Amino acid sequence: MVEFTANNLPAAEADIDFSDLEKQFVVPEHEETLENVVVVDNIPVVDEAKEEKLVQVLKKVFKKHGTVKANGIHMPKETGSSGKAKTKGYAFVEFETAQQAHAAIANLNGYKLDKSHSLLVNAFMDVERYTEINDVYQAPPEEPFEEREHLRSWLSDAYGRDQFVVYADHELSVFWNETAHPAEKVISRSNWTEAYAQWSPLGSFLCTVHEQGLVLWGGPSWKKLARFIHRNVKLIDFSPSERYLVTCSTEPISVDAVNQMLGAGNEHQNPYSIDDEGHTVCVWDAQTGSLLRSFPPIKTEDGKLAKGSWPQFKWSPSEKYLARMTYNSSLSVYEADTMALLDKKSIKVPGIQDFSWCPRVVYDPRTNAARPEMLAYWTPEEGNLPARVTLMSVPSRTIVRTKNLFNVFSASLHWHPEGQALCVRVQRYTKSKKSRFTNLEIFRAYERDVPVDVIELKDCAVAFDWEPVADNMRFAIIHTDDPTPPVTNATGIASTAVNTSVSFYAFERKGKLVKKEGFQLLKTFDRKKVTALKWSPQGRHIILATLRTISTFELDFVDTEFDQSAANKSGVAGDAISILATGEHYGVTDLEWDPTGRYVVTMASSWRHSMEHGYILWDFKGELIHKTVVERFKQLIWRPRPRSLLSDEKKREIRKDLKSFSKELDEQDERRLHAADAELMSQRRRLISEWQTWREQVDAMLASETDEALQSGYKLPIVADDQEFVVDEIVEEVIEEKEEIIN
Amino acid sequence: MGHTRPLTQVKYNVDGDLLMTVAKDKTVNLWYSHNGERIGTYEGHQGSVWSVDCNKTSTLIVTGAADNTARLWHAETGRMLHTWELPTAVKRVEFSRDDRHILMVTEERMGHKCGIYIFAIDISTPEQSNEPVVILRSSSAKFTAAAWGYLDKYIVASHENGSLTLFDWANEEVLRHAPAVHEGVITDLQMWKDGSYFITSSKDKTARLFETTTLDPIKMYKADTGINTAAMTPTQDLVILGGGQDSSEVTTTSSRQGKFESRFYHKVFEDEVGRVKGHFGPINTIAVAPDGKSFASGGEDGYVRVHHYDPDYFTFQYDY
Repeated sequence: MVEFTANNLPAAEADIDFSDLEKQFVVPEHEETLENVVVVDNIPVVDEAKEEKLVQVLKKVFKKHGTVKANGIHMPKETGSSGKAKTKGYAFVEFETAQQAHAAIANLNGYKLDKSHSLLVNAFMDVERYTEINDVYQAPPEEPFEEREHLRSWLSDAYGRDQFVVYADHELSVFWNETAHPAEKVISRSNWTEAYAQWSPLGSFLCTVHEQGLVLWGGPSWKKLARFIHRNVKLIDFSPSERYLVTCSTEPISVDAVNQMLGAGNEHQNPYSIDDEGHTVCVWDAQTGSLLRSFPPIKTEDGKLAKGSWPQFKWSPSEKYLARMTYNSSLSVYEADTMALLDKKSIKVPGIQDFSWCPRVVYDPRTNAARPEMLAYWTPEEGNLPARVTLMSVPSRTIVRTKNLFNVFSASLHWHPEGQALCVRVQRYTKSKKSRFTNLEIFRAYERDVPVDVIELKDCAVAFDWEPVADNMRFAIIHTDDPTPPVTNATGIASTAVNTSVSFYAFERKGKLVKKEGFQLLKTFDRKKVTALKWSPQGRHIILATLRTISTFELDFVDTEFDQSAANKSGVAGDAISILATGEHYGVTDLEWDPTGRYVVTMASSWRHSMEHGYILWDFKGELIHKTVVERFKQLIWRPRPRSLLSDEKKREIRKDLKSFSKELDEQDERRLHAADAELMSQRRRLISEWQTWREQVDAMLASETDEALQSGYKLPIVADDQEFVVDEIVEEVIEEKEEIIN
Repeated sequence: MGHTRPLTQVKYNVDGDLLMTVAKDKTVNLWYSHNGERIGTYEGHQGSVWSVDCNKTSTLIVTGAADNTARLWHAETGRMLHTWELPTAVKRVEFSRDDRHILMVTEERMGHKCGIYIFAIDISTPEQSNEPVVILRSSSAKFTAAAWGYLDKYIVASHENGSLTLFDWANEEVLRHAPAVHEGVITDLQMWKDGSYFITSSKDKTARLFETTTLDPIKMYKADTGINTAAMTPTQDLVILGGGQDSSEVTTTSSRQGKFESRFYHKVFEDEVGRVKGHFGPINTIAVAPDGKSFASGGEDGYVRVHHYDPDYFTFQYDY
């Protein structure tokens, strides 16, 4: 080999030996050409007669994601024992470009061709690659086990206290609720969230909202548990058991924008691909933080963005299904496991206005088997068709019950929290169409033939709330003659408070006193200005509140089982209902029960007005425990608790033995109170002794300086000694005057 | 007849039997403090009267007003003894501890710088010198209030930007400047009886105690509204704060909403211990009787309210 130097250049290209470079940058030819081929597995096995048809079907499926080359689908066949040639159940599909092949893999892997055939789509090159893998198993290096913190540690608090989060000014803080002394701060961080905070439905995570996305925090150390990149996220919704998370942003997803935000070198953290481009709603796995699927915003038929309500996706109670509706046209149910449309198509429901899942999985009392999940929706009157409420079973899509309604202005769906009944609050026109009134149509959803009870009111029910207790179907409504909502300002504060009444109803089975089973009116409180109702999560107690008005701030604490003896005597169940206490919270905007039903917090939020901000803690009896005034207070949310694991029997047992438990607990409270007092006292003693020492020093200094000053001619004015003097004042009072003539 | 316009200052004499009140209605009133009977009115000012003080023997009264004058009155007869003409309105007047000087804080206006003018007083003659002994100038924002420190060695002045200055007035020297100790305008400054520490109130919703010689903060009292005035009670360890939403900020007519109460705090523990209601507008000024048995508050509503404490106030002991 001749060494080339500057003086000895090769005469022609052929003289140069490129073999080393060729070896280094060798380009295997076949790889280049087969990148655009995918292997499709798990397709039906057919004979020659049907082969052509199957190819056509596959073509149709793959066409959506790229151009399949002419004769690009190749299906190997073999001749079976019967002598007929059959396909082997897989095929090769050749696309124009490698990109198209990738898109097909990303979108069609797992695609359901029919009930028993889900396509398995893989790159042909993968097959090549996997055949080259060493047959001997090599164990990957073991990752050190990292213990995760207990996400429910707060439940094991020795005093059974509840936590709440407060967002005020720029500070987000978590507190232990205390009654005897101010709430104990657990953690507080400045600028922890940029918009608001939210607990997950079982309380495991605290969710903070940022421009870049969301972060979940939790455990005893309040560590960052998961991060979800979704720029300008505005709304969050968890699935009922916290497995999934849905986020919604006003900004359509752009892969480039997210890459830019993450910075160079961090592109691998970008959860989005080209297929997510332009979407606004994302469904995530809350545990791992991975993106499951993104959805485009809902569009109306003319292509405009539909205005929707949140949550856009509603979860079935088992978390198996999630559904969203396209106003006026259809309902799309997705399977959570695969994030695929149930049966591959949306349910056409022309005119659909609203839908709602039954919130709880209902079990058959005899077999103890879970009953199929159910959702309800309603459609308005259209031409000659009446308005209609429909109960549909999922996933079978069978219609369980429908009911036609007439003269309907609007309807709202209220499921009982335990799922056994659905109340449809129907606003109806009177015959003259001049005024409106309300019908309550109550479907006992899981009873045979789904009986419907109808309560026809004379006026309009503007609010409805079920008592969240499984055993009885009891509810309260606010009703008024004038259903037009009062004028509110931009932040939802009404300038007037409308006169309203509150009524209680309960379902009563046939009995001695009850001739006809059905819903009975228990009691009505008239001439109230109530705008909101909130049952205690334990039932029995309810608060009637006048929220978000400029003039009235009343809170009525009602016990629905206060005077049971009076009810028994009179035979009227409503006589047991009584207002325990009436409170007032100036500027009250929100109200929230703690998850145990022991306390209530009323809030005056700076999101709504500029009056006095802060919150008041009440107990369920309506006694004010303490009031906290916080500048620029925004929100307070109790940390939810998971459902109790105790059986009903166990609960009854505890209730029976409550006296013996409570004695112990009372003592515990007492001890804690004393300890806190002692701490406060020692703190005060320290402060006072510091003050006194300081004063003594100052006094000594002043005395010596005064002496000095007086000697050098400083004179203080002579003031009369400030001893008190007593002024005697003689007051004469004529008690009696008598004139007597003395002879 | 009391006052027809918002009160600007109320003050007790040293003996505590007399109460002087001044208001924006140009009048200066003198009252018996124990029953609220009016003794008389000092008439002559042509503008809002901002401040009042009397000497230790209660023979002379000095007032400062928006008519750019400060006037000296014979307390008993109401005769005007002397008028000082100053370049701008007089916001605060105070006799020195030895009654031989008066400090006058003037407003910054119409091109005139604010200043603290100190005039010598000769009790023997009604004629007073028109020539100030010293004029102290601000190195920071304008003065809002000033008070004499112990033995008349010092003058402490507060500024609109929330800072404080300690002057060796005789030598016209700034001894110390504490910038931005409050986050808002300092509205009032009242000395403890021996002049070793003082309380300031501010629109930043707090009142604070400071040591005179070092200007070190000692205590802070937090309220939920702007504070216009703060006073210390001489016998109990309490401070009284007065304030309330400015009338321009009041959105509703509810008096509760305006926070027009006198608030009591424990001086050492900084805890709020109670409130006294009564005014229909913000409280502009509070003074505590020297015997500690009553206090007077003057409000934007034109009322002066004299509160005599209930007996349990004196027996109340804070647990520690």
